Amino acid sequence: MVWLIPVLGLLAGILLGSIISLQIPLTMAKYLSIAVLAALDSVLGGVRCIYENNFNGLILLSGFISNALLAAFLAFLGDQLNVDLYMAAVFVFGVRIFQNLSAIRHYVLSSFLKKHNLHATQRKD
Amino acid sequence: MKKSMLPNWVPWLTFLLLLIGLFFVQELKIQSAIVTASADPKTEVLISLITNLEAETAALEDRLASIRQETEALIGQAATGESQLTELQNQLTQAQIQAGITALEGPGITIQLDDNNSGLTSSPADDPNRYIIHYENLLYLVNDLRNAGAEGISINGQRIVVSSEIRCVGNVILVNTTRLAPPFEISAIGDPKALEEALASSTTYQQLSLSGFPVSYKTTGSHSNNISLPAYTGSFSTKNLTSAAHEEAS
Repeated sequence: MVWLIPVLGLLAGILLGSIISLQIPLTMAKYLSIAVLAALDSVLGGVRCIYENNFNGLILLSGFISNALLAAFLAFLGDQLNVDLYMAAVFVFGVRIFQNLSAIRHYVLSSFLKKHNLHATQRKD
Repeated sequence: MKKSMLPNWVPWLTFLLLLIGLFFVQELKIQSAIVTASADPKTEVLISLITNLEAETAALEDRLASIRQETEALIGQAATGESQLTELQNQLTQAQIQAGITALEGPGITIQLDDNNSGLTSSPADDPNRYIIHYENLLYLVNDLRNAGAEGISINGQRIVVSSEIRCVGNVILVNTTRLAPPFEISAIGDPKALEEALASSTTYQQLSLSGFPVSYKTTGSHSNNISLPAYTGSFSTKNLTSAAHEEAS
């Protein structure tokens, strides 16, 4: 049940966010949403790496920070140029999230099928 | 993987998911704040604005209705008031014409008079007074024209009004306290025929004509040029008088 610990972390974060109120200005809303997307992307990438057995916590964290910073910079630049550049970051994060999710699903399903020896019978069917 | 030890990814993912939860809730708060900030007070302001405007519209419509009623009443009054005004203006114009303070135009007669210079030079020993036009000549001629029904008279551009004097000071003739010099031109508006007849029977004119004065007259025909009289430019003294009619009226 080690999966429960990160989920508890998510719940703790939600609880923490509900209790404390970071006085974030309204203009920062866009950057915060990009940070959420970057974190989600990093989490799914990390989970994928777990299945690929090349997980590294530092790489994960540095990837999250650099992605979030780049996305924030794009959003800032887009604000200055009056072009929705942050959409590029949103798009990239979205695509990566789906790719990571499909990879994770692939690994989860294949390991599940391997565990129950279903793929052989399924193939025979 | 060992069961006694947590896998190394657990704290990282826990941290990231904690961040996601924190950020997500904050984002939700901001979005709801934006929604409430942009919608709630604005809506109430707009609702109160609409209510106020509707009340204002109703009040204005009431006022419009009353103003329309007033206008209709005033139009009714104006019909009578306008005719009264026109009548008053007509009376005023008539009074101005009678007072002589307006320039006039119309048919009439023009009389030219001059001193008998040739007579004076031919008989230098004679009294020069017999060869010049005197103020009496002008006064009598004006009176004759008035008798004949002249409606407006001027002498050398000086309009004869009720307060006009024709008098002599030294060797000049004053009309409206303006000095006049020969030749004189008397213009009169009126029935040309009547004026001509009056002039023909005028002893003054006859006498001047017979005495060799260069006198002549010219009447306007029905189609020829009208005589134009200038307006009286002097003032009317009302220092001592008050209108008796004014006292009656009040």
